[in-house]
Amino acid sequence: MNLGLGYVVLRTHARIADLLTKEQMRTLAEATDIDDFLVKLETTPYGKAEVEADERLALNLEKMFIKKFTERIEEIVKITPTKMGKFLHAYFDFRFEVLNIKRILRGKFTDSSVEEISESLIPIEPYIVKSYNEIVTAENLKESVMKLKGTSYQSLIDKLDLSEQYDALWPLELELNYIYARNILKLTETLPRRDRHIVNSLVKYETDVENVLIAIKRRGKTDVDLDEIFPVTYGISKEDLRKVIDATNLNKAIDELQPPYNEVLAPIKTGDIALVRAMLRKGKYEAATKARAGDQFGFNVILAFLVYSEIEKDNLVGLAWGKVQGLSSEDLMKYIVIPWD
Amino acid sequence: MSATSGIRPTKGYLMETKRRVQIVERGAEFLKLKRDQLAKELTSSLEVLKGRRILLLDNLKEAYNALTAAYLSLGPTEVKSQTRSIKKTLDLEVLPRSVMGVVYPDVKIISTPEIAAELDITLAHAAEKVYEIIEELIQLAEFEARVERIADELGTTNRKVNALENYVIPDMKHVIKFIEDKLDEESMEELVRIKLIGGVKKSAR
Repeated sequence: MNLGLGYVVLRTHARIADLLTKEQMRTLAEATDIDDFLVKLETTPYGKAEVEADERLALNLEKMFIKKFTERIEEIVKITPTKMGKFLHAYFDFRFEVLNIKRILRGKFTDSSVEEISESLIPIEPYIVKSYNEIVTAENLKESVMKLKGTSYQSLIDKLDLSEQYDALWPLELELNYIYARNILKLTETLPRRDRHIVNSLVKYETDVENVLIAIKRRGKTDVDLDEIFPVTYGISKEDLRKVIDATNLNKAIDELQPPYNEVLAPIKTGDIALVRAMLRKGKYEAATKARAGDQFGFNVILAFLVYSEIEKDNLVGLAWGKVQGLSSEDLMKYIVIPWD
Repeated sequence: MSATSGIRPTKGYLMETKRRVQIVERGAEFLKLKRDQLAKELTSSLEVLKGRRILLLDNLKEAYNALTAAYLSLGPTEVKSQTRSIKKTLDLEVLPRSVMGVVYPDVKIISTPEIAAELDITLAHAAEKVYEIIEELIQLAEFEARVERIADELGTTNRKVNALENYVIPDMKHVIKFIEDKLDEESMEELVRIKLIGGVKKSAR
């Protein structure tokens, strides 16, 4: 059922109020252990966690949080006007499908069992492919990729030779990243002009940061083919990426990047690499909040809600895992983003 | 059974036993030198081992923190999935090596897998730290095995030295004294016998 944008925005504002507050998130982070965490979670809109409390508790909770997140997307997408709804459906489902395909290919690459691969998939309906099961049960990696013939993932087939040449999976994973970025940017053209900016900036920002991270990983290598490794670049040019790869002083190379990239990547200078992911999420959160503040009655509000929901899901997954491991709240708070009030 | 039972108190046997005592005493001296060297080696190795363990614990903590941060950033399912993209494993070669007759395993890392390109940067960082730890653990295990073997060898050498000093050499010296006493006694008897025969011959004249 597609209702007017005004109605959807109104509903979204109400849903934003349902998201966990800063205090609720802090209370969860300060839980003494996983049992305390589950008790505290019960007092939030998530309610009682109906999961098996076995050795797979963290994984079960992750599934539960992902399910809640996908339900939120579906609820909003269902009532959003056709073109926007279609876009949002693509923006999230396409991303999760790309992630699922990556997980399938990783499993096929190392001959993991069908059960192991299926277990790792995000429980969503296929977006472009007909069925995940068909790709999961294929004979080998090559067969799995060949099953994607005729879909938006067709270009993966061309990367198979490179993957075989290096006996590595990165050529396929990189191609999947660019398939997603290219298609989403193409899809933004279906949105009204005023709504395109936020999506463009989010996708480009994420792609640029990922490009720099790839460049950092390849640092010191002399045989890097920039066109092969970075087929798509936006705010950070190939020349800048080359500088990062060739840099003898990484800190200086990071400082020389333009804002906000130098700020997002600043934790690398102190050796806290994982903090970059938290900074990336923070950047997305801030971009969505800024866009929402600019237009409280349009598409930006819906997108901001979905971005917030995803960050909340990531935070809860991290917290639940940390609590199962018995980590302290200080260790946990460092890597989660809870800036909303 | 006494050390002297079944011994032939002959001059030949005495000479042979004396020669053997000399050899055993020289052997005991050599073993004492080996024991001292092993004790010295063990003391210095224990110091190194203690230092290496402290360093390893620090590095283990660092690797654990990096791995924890990767899990918190990516989520457990994604971490598990990404680790599936690593096909190659650590390639090791274990060969025996000997120092002062003490054989211990010498572990060499032939090749480490290329992990950075396949993993997210947070996980690649954690994996690098873990590989560093594995290398240190292998070196430590090799060193511990060496120290253990040295300690075993020291114990064995010490027992041998004690056995030689407290049992074998005293027993052999006792045998020598027994033979010498026997031979002295025999020569004394012989002298008395000669003297008696000489006295009888003289009185007969």
